[in-house]
Amino acid sequence: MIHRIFMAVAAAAFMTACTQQAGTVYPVKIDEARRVLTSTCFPPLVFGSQPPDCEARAGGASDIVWVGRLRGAEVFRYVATLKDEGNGSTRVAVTLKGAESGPAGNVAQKLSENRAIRNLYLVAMQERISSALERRQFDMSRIYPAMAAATAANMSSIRASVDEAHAASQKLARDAMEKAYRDEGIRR
Amino acid sequence: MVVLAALATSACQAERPPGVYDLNIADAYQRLFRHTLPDMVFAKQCGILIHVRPEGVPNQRVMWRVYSSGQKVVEFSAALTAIGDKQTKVVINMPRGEKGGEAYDGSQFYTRPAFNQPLRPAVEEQVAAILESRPFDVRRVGPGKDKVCLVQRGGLESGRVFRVDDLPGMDARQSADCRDSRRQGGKC
Repeated sequence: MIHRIFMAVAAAAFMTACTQQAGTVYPVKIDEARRVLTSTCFPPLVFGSQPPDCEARAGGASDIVWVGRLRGAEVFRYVATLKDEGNGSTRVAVTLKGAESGPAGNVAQKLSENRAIRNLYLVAMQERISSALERRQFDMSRIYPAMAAATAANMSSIRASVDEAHAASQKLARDAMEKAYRDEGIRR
Repeated sequence: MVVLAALATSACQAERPPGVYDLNIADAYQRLFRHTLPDMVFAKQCGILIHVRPEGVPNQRVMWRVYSSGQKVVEFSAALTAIGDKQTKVVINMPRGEKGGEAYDGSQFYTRPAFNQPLRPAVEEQVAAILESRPFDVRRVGPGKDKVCLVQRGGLESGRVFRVDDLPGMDARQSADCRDSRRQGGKC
């Protein structure tokens, strides 16, 4: 069973990687694609509870750039390269580049060391672009395989993070209770 | 041989009957009599602030009386019996519950519970932890079943205090405000 899941995830990752490199063709004129994409931003949920601020802009004649910022500093950027394929269609290929320094550290290195997360971010942005150009809702089910792969690859740090959150919540609870007892002592 | 010896030793230790500890009765009494059970209180208390006062009959019995706002809310005890010179048997006694059974046995109802139910496993674990010189382990106790307790504890953890003499449906602050209002002829 685990072998089957692994194969499915691996196949999905492989197909996604190919799609990202070659790009996807949409039945949308390039000007329209550029207009739609400059008013689109990051996919939902994948960046956690504190998503970076998103700034979308045209980058030259053929690119759209989405810059992710934390506390005003760039942490990563997506670049979509648009190519007119004729007959009113446009090919869109997306890449992701991490900042080498800033509030989140060397994101470029983290992304190159954690390919499952990098792939998830790319798949999610790819779906954001597709849903915008195909004029439909963002479809979470299309990023589930990449999300499963990223979760599996990062299980130990997810567990550590959950443990950390639990410990922090326990500390808050204990602090509140200790304060209540102190206040009670003062009132006596 | 070393492994066999270790196995034999652990087998001997495992044969110690439940409730029997490798301490003479004077040591067991002193340890229990000095203890106000803070770990158990933190793990199992609900929304009212409680204070545990140990009392004892030397080398026979330790009783813990639990007070809230000066009012006794529950008590339980440990009866000690010497087994030879080096061991002590400890039996936990809980008072009778109003609905039959024993207090805080999981089937009782309290408007302002002091502890989550069932309480006996937590008392047994706390006593065992004291006599075995180890930390109280909440995982050995199992989850509480008292929903009123869970709600009121949630209040305490977020800074909302309850008292045993609160008016129905109110926390301590609301009850105090309501009593003030009534004293001045108002309603609440």
